[in-house]
Amino acid sequence: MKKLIKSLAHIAIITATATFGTQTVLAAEPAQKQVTLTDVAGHDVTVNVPVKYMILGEGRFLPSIGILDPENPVRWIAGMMGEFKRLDPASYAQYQAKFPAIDDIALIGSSGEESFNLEKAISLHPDVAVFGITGGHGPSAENKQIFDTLAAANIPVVAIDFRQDPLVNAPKSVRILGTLMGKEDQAEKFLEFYDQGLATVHDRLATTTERPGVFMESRVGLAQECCEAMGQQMMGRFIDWAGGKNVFGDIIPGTHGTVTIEQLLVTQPDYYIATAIGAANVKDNGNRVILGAMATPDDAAKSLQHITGRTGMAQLSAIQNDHLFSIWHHFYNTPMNVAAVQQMAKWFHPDLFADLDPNQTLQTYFDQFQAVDLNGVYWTDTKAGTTPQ
Amino acid sequence: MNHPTPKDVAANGNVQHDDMNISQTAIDAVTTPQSDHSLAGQYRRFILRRILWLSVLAIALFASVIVNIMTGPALLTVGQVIGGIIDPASLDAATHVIIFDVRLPFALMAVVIGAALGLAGAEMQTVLNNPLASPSTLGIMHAATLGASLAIVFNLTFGLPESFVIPISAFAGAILAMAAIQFLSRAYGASVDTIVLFGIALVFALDALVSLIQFAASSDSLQQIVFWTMGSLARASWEKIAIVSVVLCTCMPLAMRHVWKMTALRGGEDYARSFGVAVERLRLLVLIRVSILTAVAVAFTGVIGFVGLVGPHISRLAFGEDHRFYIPGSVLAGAFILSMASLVSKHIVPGILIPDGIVTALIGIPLFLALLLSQKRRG
Repeated sequence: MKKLIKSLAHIAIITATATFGTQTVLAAEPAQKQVTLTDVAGHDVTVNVPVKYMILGEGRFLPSIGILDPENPVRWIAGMMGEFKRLDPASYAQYQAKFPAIDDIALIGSSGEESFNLEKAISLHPDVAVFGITGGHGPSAENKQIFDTLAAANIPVVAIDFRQDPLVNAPKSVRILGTLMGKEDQAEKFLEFYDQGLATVHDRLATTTERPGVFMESRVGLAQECCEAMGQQMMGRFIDWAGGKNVFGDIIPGTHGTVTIEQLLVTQPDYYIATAIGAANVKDNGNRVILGAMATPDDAAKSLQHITGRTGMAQLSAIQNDHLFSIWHHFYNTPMNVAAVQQMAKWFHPDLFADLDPNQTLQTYFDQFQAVDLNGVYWTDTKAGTTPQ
Repeated sequence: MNHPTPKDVAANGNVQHDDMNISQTAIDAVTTPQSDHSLAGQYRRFILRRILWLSVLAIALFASVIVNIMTGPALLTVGQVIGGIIDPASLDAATHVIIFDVRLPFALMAVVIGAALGLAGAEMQTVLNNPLASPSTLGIMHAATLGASLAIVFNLTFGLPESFVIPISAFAGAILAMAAIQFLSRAYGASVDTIVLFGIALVFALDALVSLIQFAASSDSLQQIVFWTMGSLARASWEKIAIVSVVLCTCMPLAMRHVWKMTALRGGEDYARSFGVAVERLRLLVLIRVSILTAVAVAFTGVIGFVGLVGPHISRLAFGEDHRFYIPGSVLAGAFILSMASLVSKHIVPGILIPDGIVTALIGIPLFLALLLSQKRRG
């Protein structure tokens, strides 16, 4: 039945587009062609490409749009969810400075799935809706009601994903965006850079069986009590790719769980990695680690040092051995994750990756595949200013 | 309610007999007509049986605390823990942290918070004459949640360390809610119905405000609010234990001073008035006490429901309506439920803490049902 409705919906889209053409605000670009692509959720979606306007189910997809159009990603967006500004205010400010038009993009909701405004989304007449697979911060491409309503309004929904299974889905998603925007060449250029960056780590790790124990504390400073630990999803997955072993991976069933400091003192992980949700332009980051756009090496290191004052931290061997690092929390949801994986591999296996330069990877990413410049620090240790720019 | 109340006894003149047959009566839960027919004898057995059960509950609580301190992922031996508490200098740094900064605060926080909620719930059920009343009935907990949510969303600091800003805001919210109820009650009469209806209005209004804030909050703040509302004892620290203990030790004697009046109130408001109890005044006084207890408990741990509702019921099933026993019984029962819950929350998945709010219900319900069914069997 579901399939029938879906196929009917697709037929409706095809006939509608065939009959009326796309209903964009402005006249459609010439040389549009109709393609049917398979999105990351496995749906076949028919879209007229290149599209002119899209809506984003997560505002934080915008930098990924920038991978394909480093000149001006903002001009593609008719509407987006508002969580980019809220969750990553510093990066948003970078875009604001360079593309003031970002503030004119219509908001189709704030930062939660329930706030998605379907009517607003339809009224913008986008050529395509780009949603994540899972909801959470925005509408999910799997939400049948939203899907069907948009289909009825001739707005195809395409699912992309950098979060649920980034290793498999990030390249797919970039290809999909490339197809939608008519930027296939740029997509392939990026994927070459991406695959090569991960392959370097993967191939060298094959030469060693050593897998040090890693504890990843998620979103330091958010809860009063210690410690929210990452399970095997989101960034927890990066630990494996980077040649470490998530010490709590086996016992946390979901994305995260609370671990007592006693358990940490007993486990004594070799490495302690905190994910940073503090931002440089936000006052009062409390106990958070400050990383991301506009963060200075000094602030980052100081804020990480600050968290070692918590109960029991001084007794952890990882902290005594200076195996305490922090990484920007939003890496979990962007193809930029290649740089994070490289940096983590370098932490866990310093000798093996002595010649690898994740900072260069990050620099290249921003130079060639981003609309804004690299201006900030995305990982840190506790020694102020030692993280090269 | 078949027991002779102490008031009846007092009305029956002086106690004359002296009966030494204690052990038998302690075992025998039902007064047998053969043993001692005198009212005084019956009354003595009534008292002794309750003191015995209070002692059993206190011992059970003590045992649960000991087990709580002795167990954990670190697999310390009993000798190590006891030796460490007696002579802290003999411990290495990590073990010292485990015993003094993790296990002891966690175990003791459970006791003081459970006791505070048990006491608050017991008094609430009596003054509102409502078996479903609990510290959250009049919106005190909701108000605390609102206070905490505001502090989180608007990043209030008041120039204080973060670990105290949220508790202070939560406390302020709870106290304001209490002040509102007091004000309205004084202005419009403090009958049970009026207070409960004010309370209900407050609950819904505060709930709506919290939802509104959550709706407008960034998901970052939203997560923080959700974290906070899922009560957790892992926020324990010695200062917090000290603050809650001071409040508890202040409120407990005050509550015990009111036991006769409260017992009379269980017979109905007119009955209590006939003894000269100023019912409305008593009610408002007790509400102030309950609010402060609730506010302090919630401020430090977040919302832990259920204990304040079921602790008093367990006590009532075990001790009846005589507040000399019902009040301490509720305190012990509340402390015991939360102590057991904190013990279990550590062990469901070793090394991972399951939020205490979830576990309390799982612990309290079987205990409550067992007592309820045994009472029903006895008729």
